[in-house]
Amino acid sequence: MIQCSVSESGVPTGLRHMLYPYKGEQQYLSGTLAYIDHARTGGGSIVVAAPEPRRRFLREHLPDDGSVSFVDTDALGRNPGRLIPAWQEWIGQSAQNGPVHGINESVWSGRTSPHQSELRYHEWLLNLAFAGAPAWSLMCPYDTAGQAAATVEALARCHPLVWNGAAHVAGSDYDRGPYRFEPLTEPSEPYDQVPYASGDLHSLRTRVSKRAKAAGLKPQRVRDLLLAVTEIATNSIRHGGGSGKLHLWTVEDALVCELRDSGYIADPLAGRVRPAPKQLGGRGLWFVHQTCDLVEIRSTRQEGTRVRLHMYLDA
Amino acid sequence: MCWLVRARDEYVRGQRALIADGTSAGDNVLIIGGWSGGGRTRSGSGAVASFDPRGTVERGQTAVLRAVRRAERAAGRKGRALRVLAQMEAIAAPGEALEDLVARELRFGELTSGGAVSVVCAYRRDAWDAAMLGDLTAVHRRHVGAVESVGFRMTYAGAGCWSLRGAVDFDGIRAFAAVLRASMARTGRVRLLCHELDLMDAAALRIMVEAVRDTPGGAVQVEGANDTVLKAWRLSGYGAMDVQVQVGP
Repeated sequence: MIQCSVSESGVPTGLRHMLYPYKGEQQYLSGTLAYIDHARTGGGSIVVAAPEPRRRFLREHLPDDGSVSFVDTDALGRNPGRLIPAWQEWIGQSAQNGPVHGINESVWSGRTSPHQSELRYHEWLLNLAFAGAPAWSLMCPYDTAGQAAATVEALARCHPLVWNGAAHVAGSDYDRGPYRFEPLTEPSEPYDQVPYASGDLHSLRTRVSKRAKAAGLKPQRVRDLLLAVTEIATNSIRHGGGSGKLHLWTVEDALVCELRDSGYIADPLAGRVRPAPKQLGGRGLWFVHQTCDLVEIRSTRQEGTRVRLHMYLDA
Repeated sequence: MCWLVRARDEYVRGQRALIADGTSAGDNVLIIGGWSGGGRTRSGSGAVASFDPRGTVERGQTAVLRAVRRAERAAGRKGRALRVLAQMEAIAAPGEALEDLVARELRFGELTSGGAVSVVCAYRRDAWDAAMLGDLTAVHRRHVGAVESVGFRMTYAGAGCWSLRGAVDFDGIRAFAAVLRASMARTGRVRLLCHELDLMDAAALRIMVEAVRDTPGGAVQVEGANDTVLKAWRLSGYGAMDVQVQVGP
């Protein structure tokens, strides 16, 4: 199944989003160079978003003719929730040269299970985020060496297409949705539990600040977290039934704040797309994604909303 | 300072204490509103005067400010400071809009900037809406009496310039909107010194933009913003709008 369609104005729209499962450096290189050749043949521009070691490796194997743009994903921080606006910006810069062909390589190894889960969800959301955008392609290399079949399958569910090293084909595992989230783990003991409502934002921040400082978070990052907590708690007060409950705990590598309320977030892309300047509201979740290292959101009409914010202690 | 008074008895006791304390320190005292001591008298080494706008032809803020300036000059001639106790029910009707009340308070704030005048604004809690009293704490350096105060303070720091401290969030958003709009109504262009501001949330940034947009000739210049405030402003994208708000370190 091909994701692209044609808009009313006749311009092709949508994202050709393909997973490239490979094993080892040689297969990575051959398949990726084939994709780049394919893109060059079709015209347009090529954008590679990858960590620095991978960018350097690819540069060594590509002609130095400036036909491939490399963008720095490290500068975005680790939160996958920042990648959609980043791609919007990157393809916006390149789109005047014709269709964009992207290569999107995320860092999976060494990431926690919640982080990997959010990376997968991000991959799935890309299909939604760019459904109405001018057509472009995105190939996502993934090293399957040593990975369980279920892990690869979970990622394949997020990609409508598969790059087989020479061409894209329909992905048989793609899941159009609703997205199947992994369940959130329970808060680790000992955790703080703080109910909040209108008038409690200051005291809520005091509780979070105390715990964050004790966990060793740097002052600037404490303030960033307080801004994020304020935004989510405000959403609870304004749109989530007027009140909520904060759970606060520490895991090995992070301070975690979870805010629960009875509201429902209908738009899965809320906070993952840069608000237009003239749009006056709708910035709370955007701030949250841009200030926290990881954001997990689970929201249903039946069970309400849980927003879990992670701040890594090593940053 | 804002004094949230539980009952009339408490007000009377507080008034006596303020007079005793002020005059024994050699300051003059001006009581605005009800006072049983007559129009003008001496107590200790300082003098006590009163002015009740309810009993004059000249009502309203202008009359009150004129009385305070008169008392300030009188005190100044003797080299004394002036302490003002303003019974706010005598100055404004408890149903008055927050923005109007804040405008009055800002004028008092300006009077105190020279250091020779201090003003205690006494509000009887049974006369005013509790949420409004909480909002009014925003324009006082401190308050006495139980109230759910907002998380920020915005106080006079010079002509067209205000010091903003604490955290401006949704709980304080009504107060922030009122204070900002009232200050812009005074001077148009407003400088906010934010060196002691911890946080400004998305709602607060929006209020700033809307207030400027709605005020002809209005502008806000934020100075001394910390990294989080700067980041929030940058992320908001409001800087790309054609609106006269500048946020800087």
